[in-house]
Amino acid sequence: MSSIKNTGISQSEVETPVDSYWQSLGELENTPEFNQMLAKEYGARPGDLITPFNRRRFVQLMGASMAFAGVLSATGCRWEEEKIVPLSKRPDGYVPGNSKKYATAWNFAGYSEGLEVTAYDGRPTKIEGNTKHPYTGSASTTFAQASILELYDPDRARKVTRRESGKSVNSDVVAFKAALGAIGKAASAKSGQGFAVLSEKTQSPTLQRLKAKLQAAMPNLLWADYQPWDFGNEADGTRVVFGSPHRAHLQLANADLLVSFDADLFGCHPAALSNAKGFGVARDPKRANVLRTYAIESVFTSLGSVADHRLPARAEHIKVLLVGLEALLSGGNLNQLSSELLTEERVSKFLVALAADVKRFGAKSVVAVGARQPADVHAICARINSRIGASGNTVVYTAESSSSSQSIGSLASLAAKGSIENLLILGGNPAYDAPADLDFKTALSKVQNSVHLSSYHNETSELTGWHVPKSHFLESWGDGRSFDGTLSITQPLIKPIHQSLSSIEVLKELVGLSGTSGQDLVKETFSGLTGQGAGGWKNALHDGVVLGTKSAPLSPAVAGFTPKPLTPSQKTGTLAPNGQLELVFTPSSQTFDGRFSNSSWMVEVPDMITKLTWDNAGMISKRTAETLGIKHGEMMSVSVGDTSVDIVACITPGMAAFSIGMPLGWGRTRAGNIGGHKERGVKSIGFDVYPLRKTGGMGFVSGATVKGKGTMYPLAETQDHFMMDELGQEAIKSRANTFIKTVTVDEAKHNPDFVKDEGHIWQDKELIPPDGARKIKHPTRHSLFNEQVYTAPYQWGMTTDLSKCIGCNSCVVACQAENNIPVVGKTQVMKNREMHWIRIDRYFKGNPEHPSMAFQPVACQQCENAPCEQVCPVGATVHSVEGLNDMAYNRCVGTRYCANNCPYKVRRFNFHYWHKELDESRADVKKLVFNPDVTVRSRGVIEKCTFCVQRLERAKITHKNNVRRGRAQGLLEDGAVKTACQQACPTGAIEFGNLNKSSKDSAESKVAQLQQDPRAYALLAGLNTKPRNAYLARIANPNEELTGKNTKEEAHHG
Amino acid sequence: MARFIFPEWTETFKKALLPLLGGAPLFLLGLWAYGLTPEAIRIGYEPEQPVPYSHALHVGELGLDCRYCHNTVEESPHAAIPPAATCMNCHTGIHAESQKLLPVRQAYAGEKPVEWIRVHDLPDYVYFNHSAHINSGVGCESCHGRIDTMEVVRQDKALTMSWCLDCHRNPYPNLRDYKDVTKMGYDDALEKQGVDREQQGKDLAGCTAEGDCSISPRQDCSTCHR
Repeated sequence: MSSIKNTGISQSEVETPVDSYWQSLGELENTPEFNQMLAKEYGARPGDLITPFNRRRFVQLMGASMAFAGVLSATGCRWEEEKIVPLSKRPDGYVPGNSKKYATAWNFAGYSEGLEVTAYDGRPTKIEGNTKHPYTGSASTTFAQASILELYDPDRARKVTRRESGKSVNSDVVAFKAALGAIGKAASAKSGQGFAVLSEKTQSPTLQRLKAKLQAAMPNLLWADYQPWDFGNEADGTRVVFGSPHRAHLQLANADLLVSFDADLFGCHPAALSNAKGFGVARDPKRANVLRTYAIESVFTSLGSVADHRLPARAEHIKVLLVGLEALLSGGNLNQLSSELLTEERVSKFLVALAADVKRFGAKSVVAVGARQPADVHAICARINSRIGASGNTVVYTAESSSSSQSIGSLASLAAKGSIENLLILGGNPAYDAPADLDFKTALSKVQNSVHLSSYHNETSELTGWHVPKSHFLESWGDGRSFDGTLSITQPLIKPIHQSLSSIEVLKELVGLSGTSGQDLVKETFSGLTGQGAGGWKNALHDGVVLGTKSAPLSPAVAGFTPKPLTPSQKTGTLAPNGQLELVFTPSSQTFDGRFSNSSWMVEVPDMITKLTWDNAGMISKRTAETLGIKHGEMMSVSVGDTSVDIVACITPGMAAFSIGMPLGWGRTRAGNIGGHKERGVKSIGFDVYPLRKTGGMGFVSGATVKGKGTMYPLAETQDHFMMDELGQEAIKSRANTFIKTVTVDEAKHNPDFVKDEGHIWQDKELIPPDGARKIKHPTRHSLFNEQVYTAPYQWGMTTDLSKCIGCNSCVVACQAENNIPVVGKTQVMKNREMHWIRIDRYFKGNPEHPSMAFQPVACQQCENAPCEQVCPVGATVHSVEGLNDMAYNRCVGTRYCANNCPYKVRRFNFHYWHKELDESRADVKKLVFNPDVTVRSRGVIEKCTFCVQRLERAKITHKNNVRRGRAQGLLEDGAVKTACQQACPTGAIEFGNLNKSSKDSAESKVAQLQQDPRAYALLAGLNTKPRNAYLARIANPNEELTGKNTKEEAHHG
Repeated sequence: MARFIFPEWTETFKKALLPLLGGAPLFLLGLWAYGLTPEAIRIGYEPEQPVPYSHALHVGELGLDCRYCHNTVEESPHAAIPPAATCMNCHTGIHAESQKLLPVRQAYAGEKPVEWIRVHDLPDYVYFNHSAHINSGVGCESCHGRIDTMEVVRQDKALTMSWCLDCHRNPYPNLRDYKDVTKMGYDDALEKQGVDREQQGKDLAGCTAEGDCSISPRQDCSTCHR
């Protein structure tokens, strides 16, 4: 045990492997702060709940209670009268009280994602993936999940406004359309000279059609596209190597080896859902070859977290490493490249082993490069893929349309010269996120007439002449294409709540189509593209997708090219002096590029790597921090050239040394009441790092200087919250075997019973038959209580496959949306009071400089022998006959005994009335987001995961009704009901269903089979809680050349 | 004036006086407490509705089926209050000028929907599902009483949790054939005939000798609370 303390972590150079899992450096070093966290589930004494009591307060209370007693006796205790207001004419097919699902799609960062949206009484409440969509499928991203909250955000712009002598005044759509018409007329007279449009990147065929029309009418029009995080480098790189721009589609389901160079394939990537799905398939242990993954990256990505081998490397070194790999593949050696880095043993060993593996797997392997890397790195990657035979096999190319747009840079420089009179900005927030060297704000101020269309009155709207609220995608017609080219139709589910227009509705005014509705325009585009009539249109709306519109695969030939020579800084080794540090810009997993910074769900969901909420931070490795003398949570000043930004330091294991991860999209000054609003006196959250991001250094920039400021900044980190404390701190080391079970593919083949062999700590030897240790999974244990016998036809159960979990948070946000889970705010998160029913435990393993990582989503385990039930004094939590651990909120009196007795720490307590803001009239619209099937909890009650019991009950009742009316038979089919988390999971890690095998009417469900899998194990099985959720052990597929043989504990040494 | 002396026969009352005086507060307290019970507060709740719609007339006399208006009752948790359009199916011709129907006509013309007052109001944390009960053969009458006799709709049952549980524990006396679910006066008629309702219900639910029934309502928290 003492080895934990003595591993010498403070000297990070020491290569002593720490072979147990740990969640934070505090835990690894066993700091007093960590121990306090462990001891008190909900933090220190809840001082904020105790109001000072004095005589005046006493009199007030007495008076109030007497008055209340009077009211009781006088009015007879009847609650408020409720009204029922039926529609005067009910539309066909509308059944009050039942939800309806509609297929639609949304365009996110340029590409569309198929969605299925649930609406109650005409009000959308939940977003899910569209099962019919062949590309994005039934899963959904966190961003899609959270976009429903934006629809009802009280901070969304509600009225068209116009700037008059520096002040914003209310206007209306009619006045705006007149003004826009005038602008259009004046511009066409000059054939578009002096008129510019700045748009977000989009694949929408209707928008592109309107754009082409406008460009035809105004040949001198300047149309620019901008998106702070885009994928243009890949197009540029493939143009170099193939002669024309291409899109690379990884076919992970076909691959045996994936090598990622700084690629965030499962995170902020247009193919994230498809990649994750392919990964889930390829990672199935039943497959002949389980996918092996290498990740070489600066900032931990979700791909890096599941990689078998990960090499932290600065972003600027990625090119060197890729060139090194290419050299090794073509029979060269690393020395010829005169790079210091490649001579370092840890790097060369890694690359040599990697190259050998790529050769071994040949055409079954694939190399991917991230969006951050410059064009020539993408070109080298495409060349390697073609050399190893991956092209057309594990990676498929399709054509990328050549853009007819200018860059934001040329727009800004023209505007700065004063040669742009009229500017129309469609979406986006360039005043906040444009490259800093463009000085977009000044350029914008030189434009005479400017119009900004956006959902919020943001930093850009503040500077434009007009601001028009942009309709949410659930309020407007539109279309789009997913990354593979599949056409989707966006249909509205609700009329615009506020006075708003869509991009299509604004643009059509300029091309003389003001009489045509958005719907008709989209329909026209549809029939133009597909040649289908009304019937086809109806099908497209029903399915939300037009099948067979995928782009055709191409087999481009590689042209010879010479990459740019390595720069001096790329030739350096790992060490870099202060002044030569590297900044790596990364889209935030929470706010993306800043567009979600007013979404309370997104800013409170912990970042998958740092577990930080309500802030971004400069991610810095422990070694770098020690070298620079910076502490965790210390403010630092980061400067490149003469620009400097203050940001808090967050020591992040696995961050490349001398590289600092800078998440974009925070520090907004005009986002709203969540994300910060200077005018209203709402403090910004997080730190804005855009000022450091300039043209040419949009992905990363070298030559940074960092200075610690000595002041500490409070961080709301959840990594030590709700820690499962088995035997106190003494058990930290044994966690490796009990919480996250990992096994290599080879080992699993030789010993299928590996999970059973990883004994329990409290294993009672006497209870195991002498020869039976391998035969029974858990030794017989006896409960002190009479155990319930489960005979009901449905016995709900779940499995979570740790091999597939990529920590993406989709399940967390899906659960939040489905179950009306409140957000609590930064100060409350710091007191361990976040309410998420699912927490994703993130474990590191190994040396903090290059650890491996594992995720474990933990929600209520629905124990059959639930410790919480045994201590509830009022019977507010008891078992259902179907094996659910039911929670009756109206019975709970808030003793929190259950939370105290829960070994998994999954119970959440409402310390305050978290929905208080809804009592304000401005927040009325926010009430519409609630799921009417789930009680909105008030102060003083405990809540927790219910396995989405509202969905189970709905499904069962509907099915039973059908059975009684002779329309159906037997029990619900397997997969007929899905929990919110299961539905959202992009890799299919979560399986849910009926465990009851004895039911004569149904075949054994998928989840029942998985629970019998040799990999299945229960968390803390030694406690005899008999959870209904089983975890499937994590499969690792390491390269023995890098690990040495039989080293299953240490997945890699790097 | 001589001192008044109570006649001797009052002695019998005197003895009762003390318990009476002492018992009065207790009685009043008991009365007050009873007044707070759901049975006393809820049963008989009879708010005045914006339109004096008479169930006694439409159901009792004219014999409309409940599902003519409450047509979602078999497929939805809600037995929806009908839209004004349903009323206007008949009332474009019958009583087309009636002042009492003015709010309905206004609603139909698209001015303002009729705001009915909820009579059967369960707490928001209770998820009652009409379709589950109707399809299982629980008659409307079992919970709503003799609607066909009510001029103004009145709450007939206490709708307390224990009342719900009584039936969930033994639903069989309240079961009837699906075709009879909307029949009014069904219970009274069978009672007069002396039918064993419990046995009848068990037969309907196909109960076996082992006690396995196709209708066996759950009594878990999550059955109603979610």
